[in-house]
Amino acid sequence: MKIPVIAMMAAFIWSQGALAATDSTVTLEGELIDSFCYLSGVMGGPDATLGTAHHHCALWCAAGGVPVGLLTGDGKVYLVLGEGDDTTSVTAPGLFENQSHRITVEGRAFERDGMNYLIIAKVLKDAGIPNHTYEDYGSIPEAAAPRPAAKP
Amino acid sequence: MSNQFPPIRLFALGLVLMTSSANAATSWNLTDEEIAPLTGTVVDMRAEITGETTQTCGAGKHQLGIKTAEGKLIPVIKNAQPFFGASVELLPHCGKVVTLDGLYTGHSGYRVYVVQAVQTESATIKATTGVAQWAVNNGFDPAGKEARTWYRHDPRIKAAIAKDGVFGIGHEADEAWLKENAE
Repeated sequence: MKIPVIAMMAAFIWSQGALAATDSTVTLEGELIDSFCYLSGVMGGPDATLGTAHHHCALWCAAGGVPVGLLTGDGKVYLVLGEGDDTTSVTAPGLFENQSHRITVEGRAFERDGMNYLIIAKVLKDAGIPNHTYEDYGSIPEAAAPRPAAKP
Repeated sequence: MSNQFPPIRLFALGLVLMTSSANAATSWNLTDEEIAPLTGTVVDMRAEITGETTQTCGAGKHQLGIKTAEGKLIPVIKNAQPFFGASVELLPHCGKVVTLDGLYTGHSGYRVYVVQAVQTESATIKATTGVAQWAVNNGFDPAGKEARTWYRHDPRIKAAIAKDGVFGIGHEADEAWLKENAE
Protein backbone atom coordinates (compact mmCIF):
# COMPACT_ATOMS: atom_id res chain seq x y z
CA MET A 1 0.00 0.00 0.00
CA LYS A 2 2.99 2.29 0.28
CA ILE A 3 3.44 2.57 -3.47
CA PRO A 4 0.08 4.27 -4.21
CA VAL A 5 0.67 6.71 -1.37
CA ILE A 6 4.09 7.57 -2.70
CA ALA A 7 2.68 7.86 -6.20
CA MET A 8 -0.02 10.23 -4.96
CA MET A 9 2.59 12.31 -3.16
CA ALA A 10 4.73 12.40 -6.29
CA ALA A 11 1.73 13.44 -8.37
CA PHE A 12 0.94 16.21 -5.90
CA ILE A 13 4.52 17.47 -5.89
CA TRP A 14 4.57 17.30 -9.71
CA SER A 15 1.34 19.29 -9.86
CA GLN A 16 2.89 22.01 -7.71
CA GLY A 17 5.86 22.28 -10.01
CA ALA A 18 4.42 25.28 -11.81
CA LEU A 19 4.52 27.25 -8.59
CA ALA A 20 8.01 26.44 -7.37
CA ALA A 21 11.43 26.82 -8.90
CA THR A 22 13.77 23.85 -8.70
CA ASP A 23 17.27 24.88 -7.71
CA SER A 24 20.58 23.17 -8.38
CA THR A 25 24.27 24.07 -8.31
CA VAL A 26 25.76 23.65 -11.76
CA THR A 27 28.80 24.10 -13.95
CA LEU A 28 27.72 25.08 -17.46
CA GLU A 29 29.51 25.89 -20.70
CA GLY A 30 27.79 27.92 -23.36
CA GLU A 31 27.51 31.12 -25.34
CA LEU A 32 26.21 34.32 -23.81
CA ILE A 33 23.36 35.35 -26.08
CA ASP A 34 20.85 38.09 -26.66
CA SER A 35 17.76 36.30 -25.40
CA PHE A 36 15.18 38.32 -27.34
CA CYS A 37 16.83 38.10 -30.74
CA TYR A 38 17.57 34.40 -30.27
CA LEU A 39 14.09 33.41 -29.10
CA SER A 40 11.93 35.76 -31.17
CA GLY A 41 13.21 35.24 -34.70
CA VAL A 42 13.22 39.03 -35.21
CA MET A 43 16.62 38.76 -36.90
CA GLY A 44 15.90 35.57 -38.82
CA GLY A 45 16.89 32.08 -37.72
CA PRO A 46 18.42 31.50 -34.28
CA ASP A 47 21.85 30.67 -35.72
CA ALA A 48 22.11 34.16 -37.19
CA THR A 49 21.89 35.63 -33.69
CA LEU A 50 24.95 33.82 -32.40
CA GLY A 51 28.66 34.57 -32.45
CA THR A 52 30.43 37.41 -34.19
CA ALA A 53 27.63 38.21 -36.66
CA HIS A 54 25.37 39.36 -33.88
CA HIS A 55 27.90 40.62 -31.35
CA HIS A 56 27.23 44.31 -31.95
CA CYS A 57 23.44 43.91 -31.72
CA ALA A 58 23.86 41.76 -28.60
CA LEU A 59 25.72 44.67 -27.00
CA TRP A 60 22.89 47.00 -27.97
CA CYS A 61 20.27 44.75 -26.39
CA ALA A 62 22.30 44.05 -23.23
CA ALA A 63 22.86 47.77 -22.73
CA GLY A 64 19.12 48.29 -23.21
CA GLY A 65 18.33 45.80 -20.47
CA VAL A 66 17.20 42.80 -22.50
CA PRO A 67 18.18 39.78 -20.39
CA VAL A 68 21.41 38.06 -21.32
CA GLY A 69 21.01 34.32 -21.87
CA LEU A 70 23.33 31.35 -21.76
CA LEU A 71 22.87 28.86 -24.61
CA THR A 72 24.42 25.51 -23.72
CA GLY A 73 25.47 22.72 -26.06
CA ASP A 74 22.27 20.77 -25.47
CA GLY A 75 20.19 23.69 -26.74
CA LYS A 76 19.00 24.85 -23.33
CA VAL A 77 18.57 28.57 -22.80
CA TYR A 78 19.11 30.04 -19.34
CA LEU A 79 18.02 33.62 -18.63
CA VAL A 80 20.79 35.09 -16.48
CA LEU A 81 19.54 36.95 -13.41
CA GLY A 82 22.85 37.89 -11.83
CA GLU A 83 26.60 37.46 -11.83
CA GLY A 84 28.88 37.15 -8.83
CA ASP A 85 28.36 39.72 -6.12
CA ASP A 86 26.75 42.00 -8.67
CA THR A 87 23.05 41.29 -8.58
CA THR A 88 22.30 43.91 -11.19
CA SER A 89 21.53 41.56 -14.03
CA VAL A 90 20.21 44.30 -16.27
CA THR A 91 23.58 46.00 -16.46
CA ALA A 92 26.18 43.69 -14.87
CA PRO A 93 29.51 44.66 -16.45
CA GLY A 94 30.75 41.08 -16.75
CA LEU A 95 27.69 40.01 -18.67
CA PHE A 96 27.73 43.04 -20.91
CA GLU A 97 31.36 42.81 -21.92
CA ASN A 98 31.23 39.06 -22.53
CA GLN A 99 28.34 39.10 -24.98
CA SER A 100 28.72 36.33 -27.59
CA HIS A 101 31.62 34.80 -25.64
CA ARG A 102 31.81 31.08 -24.95
CA ILE A 103 32.15 30.85 -21.21
CA THR A 104 32.17 28.22 -18.50
CA VAL A 105 30.40 29.23 -15.33
CA GLU A 106 29.56 27.98 -11.89
CA GLY A 107 26.26 29.00 -10.42
CA ARG A 108 22.72 28.18 -9.42
CA ALA A 109 20.28 27.01 -12.05
CA PHE A 110 16.53 27.15 -11.59
CA GLU A 111 13.66 25.78 -13.60
CA ARG A 112 10.21 27.25 -13.37
CA ASP A 113 7.19 27.16 -15.65
CA GLY A 114 9.21 25.81 -18.55
CA MET A 115 11.96 28.43 -18.35
CA ASN A 116 15.53 28.06 -17.10
CA TYR A 117 17.20 30.73 -15.01
CA LEU A 118 20.81 31.10 -13.92
CA ILE A 119 22.57 33.08 -11.24
CA ILE A 120 26.26 32.97 -12.07
CA ALA A 121 28.58 32.72 -9.07
CA LYS A 122 31.83 32.69 -10.99
CA VAL A 123 33.11 32.65 -14.57
CA LEU A 124 35.60 29.77 -14.69
CA LYS A 125 36.74 30.16 -18.27
CA ASP A 126 36.27 32.68 -21.07
CA ALA A 127 37.13 31.41 -24.55
CA GLY A 128 36.26 34.68 -26.28
CA ILE A 129 34.14 34.42 -29.43
CA PRO A 130 35.12 31.25 -31.34
CA ASN A 131 31.83 31.24 -33.27
CA HIS A 132 32.78 33.27 -36.38
CA THR A 133 29.29 33.49 -37.84
CA TYR A 134 30.12 36.73 -39.66
CA GLU A 135 31.82 34.62 -42.29
CA ASP A 136 28.37 33.23 -43.23
CA TYR A 137 25.97 35.96 -42.22
CA GLY A 138 27.95 39.20 -42.29
CA SER A 139 26.42 41.45 -39.68
CA ILE A 140 22.98 40.75 -38.21
CA PRO A 141 21.29 43.17 -38.51
CA GLU A 142 23.01 44.91 -41.40
CA ALA A 143 22.68 48.22 -39.54
CA ALA A 144 25.17 46.86 -37.01
CA ALA A 145 27.88 46.21 -39.62
CA PRO A 146 31.31 47.83 -39.35
CA ARG A 147 31.36 51.36 -40.75
CA PRO A 148 34.26 53.00 -42.55
CA ALA A 149 36.14 55.44 -40.37
CA ALA A 150 34.95 59.02 -40.87
CA LYS A 151 37.29 61.01 -43.10
CA PRO A 152 38.87 64.02 -41.41
CA MET B 1 26.82 35.91 -47.76
CA SER B 2 23.16 35.61 -46.76
CA ASN B 3 21.40 38.50 -45.13
CA GLN B 4 18.46 37.47 -43.00
CA PHE B 5 17.61 40.99 -41.85
CA PRO B 6 17.54 43.35 -44.84
CA PRO B 7 17.07 47.10 -44.32
CA ILE B 8 13.45 46.93 -45.52
CA ARG B 9 12.62 44.58 -42.63
CA LEU B 10 14.38 46.87 -40.15
CA PHE B 11 12.38 49.78 -41.59
CA ALA B 12 9.15 47.82 -41.28
CA LEU B 13 9.90 46.95 -37.66
CA GLY B 14 10.66 50.62 -36.97
CA LEU B 15 7.28 51.61 -38.43
CA VAL B 16 5.53 49.06 -36.26
CA LEU B 17 7.37 50.30 -33.17
CA MET B 18 6.43 53.91 -33.90
CA THR B 19 2.78 53.26 -34.64
CA SER B 20 1.88 50.71 -31.99
CA SER B 21 -1.43 51.58 -30.40
CA ALA B 22 -1.58 51.96 -26.64
CA ASN B 23 -4.73 49.88 -26.43
CA ALA B 24 -4.06 46.88 -28.60
CA ALA B 25 -0.93 44.94 -29.30
CA THR B 26 0.48 44.87 -32.80
CA SER B 27 2.04 41.92 -34.53
CA TRP B 28 5.80 41.95 -34.98
CA ASN B 29 5.73 38.73 -37.01
CA LEU B 30 7.87 36.94 -34.47
CA THR B 31 8.43 33.23 -34.04
CA ASP B 32 5.34 31.40 -32.76
CA GLU B 33 3.84 34.77 -31.95
CA GLU B 34 0.66 35.01 -29.87
CA ILE B 35 -0.89 38.41 -29.31
CA ALA B 36 -2.55 38.33 -25.91
CA PRO B 37 -2.89 40.51 -22.82
CA LEU B 38 -1.06 39.41 -19.70
CA THR B 39 -2.47 40.19 -16.26
CA GLY B 40 -0.63 39.69 -13.01
CA THR B 41 1.65 41.16 -10.39
CA VAL B 42 4.93 42.84 -11.37
CA VAL B 43 7.68 40.88 -9.63
CA ASP B 44 11.46 40.80 -9.33
CA MET B 45 12.40 37.64 -11.23
CA ARG B 46 15.48 36.93 -9.13
CA ALA B 47 13.63 37.35 -5.85
CA GLU B 48 10.74 35.28 -7.14
CA ILE B 49 12.81 32.23 -8.02
CA THR B 50 15.25 32.37 -5.09
CA GLY B 51 12.84 33.39 -2.35
CA GLU B 52 14.92 36.50 -1.58
CA THR B 53 12.84 39.35 -0.25
CA THR B 54 12.60 42.61 -2.11
CA GLN B 55 10.47 45.70 -1.82
CA THR B 56 11.98 47.65 -4.68
CA CYS B 57 12.31 45.24 -7.62
CA GLY B 58 16.04 45.92 -7.60
CA ALA B 59 15.50 49.64 -8.12
CA GLY B 60 15.75 49.18 -11.87
CA LYS B 61 18.72 46.82 -11.83
CA HIS B 62 16.86 43.50 -11.85
CA GLN B 63 14.93 41.68 -14.53
CA LEU B 64 11.22 41.97 -13.87
CA GLY B 65 8.33 39.78 -14.88
CA ILE B 66 4.70 39.02 -14.25
CA LYS B 67 3.31 36.47 -11.78
CA THR B 68 -0.20 35.50 -12.75
CA ALA B 69 -3.02 34.79 -10.31
CA GLU B 70 -2.31 31.09 -10.88
CA GLY B 71 1.30 31.60 -9.78
CA LYS B 72 2.86 31.26 -13.23
CA LEU B 73 5.99 33.35 -13.76
CA ILE B 74 6.32 35.01 -17.19
CA PRO B 75 9.58 36.75 -18.17
CA VAL B 76 8.86 40.12 -19.82
CA ILE B 77 12.05 40.78 -21.75
CA LYS B 78 11.34 43.49 -24.34
CA ASN B 79 9.63 46.87 -24.46
CA ALA B 80 8.37 48.57 -27.63
CA GLN B 81 11.54 50.45 -28.53
CA PRO B 82 14.53 49.28 -30.57
CA PHE B 83 16.96 47.14 -28.57
CA PHE B 84 15.42 48.02 -25.20
CA GLY B 85 14.34 45.74 -22.38
CA ALA B 86 11.11 45.80 -20.39
CA SER B 87 12.15 46.19 -16.77
CA VAL B 88 12.23 49.97 -17.10
CA GLU B 89 8.57 49.86 -18.15
CA LEU B 90 7.50 47.58 -15.29
CA LEU B 91 9.50 49.13 -12.45
CA PRO B 92 6.99 51.91 -11.63
CA HIS B 93 4.41 49.16 -11.07
CA CYS B 94 6.52 46.90 -8.84
CA GLY B 95 4.29 44.77 -6.63
CA LYS B 96 1.10 45.97 -8.32
CA VAL B 97 -1.38 44.10 -10.48
CA VAL B 98 -1.33 45.31 -14.07
CA THR B 99 -2.48 44.15 -17.48
CA LEU B 100 0.06 44.26 -20.26
CA ASP B 101 -0.73 44.60 -23.94
CA GLY B 102 1.78 42.69 -25.95
CA LEU B 103 2.68 39.31 -27.31
CA TYR B 104 4.31 36.02 -26.53
CA THR B 105 7.11 34.63 -28.63
CA GLY B 106 9.71 31.89 -28.44
CA HIS B 107 10.72 28.46 -29.62
CA SER B 108 12.03 25.16 -28.30
CA GLY B 109 9.45 25.32 -25.51
CA TYR B 110 10.56 28.73 -24.21
CA ARG B 111 7.98 31.51 -24.02
CA VAL B 112 8.77 35.13 -23.27
CA TYR B 113 6.65 38.26 -23.41
CA VAL B 114 7.07 41.55 -25.27
CA VAL B 115 5.22 44.46 -23.67
CA GLN B 116 3.79 47.22 -25.84
CA ALA B 117 1.65 48.97 -23.21
CA VAL B 118 0.94 48.77 -19.49
CA GLN B 119 -2.63 49.14 -18.28
CA THR B 120 -3.12 50.29 -14.70
CA GLU B 121 -6.35 51.11 -12.92
CA SER B 122 -6.10 54.71 -14.05
CA ALA B 123 -4.19 54.76 -17.32
CA THR B 124 -2.74 52.93 -20.29
CA ILE B 125 0.93 53.73 -20.71
CA LYS B 126 2.88 52.93 -23.86
CA ALA B 127 5.94 50.81 -23.13
CA THR B 128 8.23 53.38 -24.67
CA THR B 129 9.75 55.18 -21.71
CA GLY B 130 13.14 53.46 -21.72
CA VAL B 131 14.94 55.57 -24.29
CA ALA B 132 13.91 58.86 -22.68
CA GLN B 133 15.27 57.61 -19.36
CA TRP B 134 18.47 56.53 -21.11
CA ALA B 135 18.79 60.03 -22.59
CA VAL B 136 18.34 61.73 -19.23
CA ASN B 137 20.82 59.36 -17.58
CA ASN B 138 23.40 60.01 -20.29
CA GLY B 139 23.02 63.77 -20.68
CA PHE B 140 21.10 63.82 -23.97
CA ASP B 141 17.86 65.47 -25.01
CA PRO B 142 15.10 62.81 -24.79
CA ALA B 143 13.63 64.24 -28.01
CA GLY B 144 16.98 64.60 -29.74
CA LYS B 145 18.57 62.62 -32.55
CA GLU B 146 20.95 60.86 -30.17
CA ALA B 147 17.99 59.40 -28.29
CA ARG B 148 16.43 58.09 -31.52
CA THR B 149 19.59 56.09 -32.17
CA TRP B 150 20.54 55.68 -28.53
CA TYR B 151 22.42 52.46 -29.23
CA ARG B 152 24.98 54.35 -31.34
CA HIS B 153 25.64 56.85 -28.54
CA ASP B 154 25.65 54.65 -25.45
CA PRO B 155 29.06 55.09 -23.78
CA ARG B 156 29.38 51.43 -22.72
CA ILE B 157 28.66 50.18 -26.23
CA LYS B 158 31.08 52.68 -27.74
CA ALA B 159 33.77 51.59 -25.30
CA ALA B 160 33.21 47.89 -26.07
CA ILE B 161 33.40 48.51 -29.83
CA ALA B 162 36.50 50.66 -29.41
CA LYS B 163 38.12 47.79 -27.51
CA ASP B 164 37.16 44.70 -29.55
CA GLY B 165 35.48 45.92 -32.72
CA VAL B 166 32.01 45.31 -34.10
CA PHE B 167 32.49 41.56 -34.46
CA GLY B 168 34.10 41.38 -31.02
CA ILE B 169 37.30 39.68 -32.19
CA GLY B 170 39.49 42.69 -32.90
CA HIS B 171 39.54 45.57 -35.35
CA GLU B 172 41.46 43.57 -37.93
CA ALA B 173 38.37 41.43 -38.57
CA ASP B 174 36.20 44.51 -39.01
CA GLU B 175 38.66 46.09 -41.41
CA ALA B 176 39.06 42.91 -43.45
CA TRP B 177 35.28 42.55 -43.69
CA LEU B 178 34.90 46.17 -44.77
CA LYS B 179 37.55 45.73 -47.43
CA GLU B 180 35.89 42.57 -48.73
CA ASN B 181 32.42 44.08 -48.73
CA ALA B 182 33.24 47.59 -49.95
CA GLU B 183 30.83 48.71 -52.63
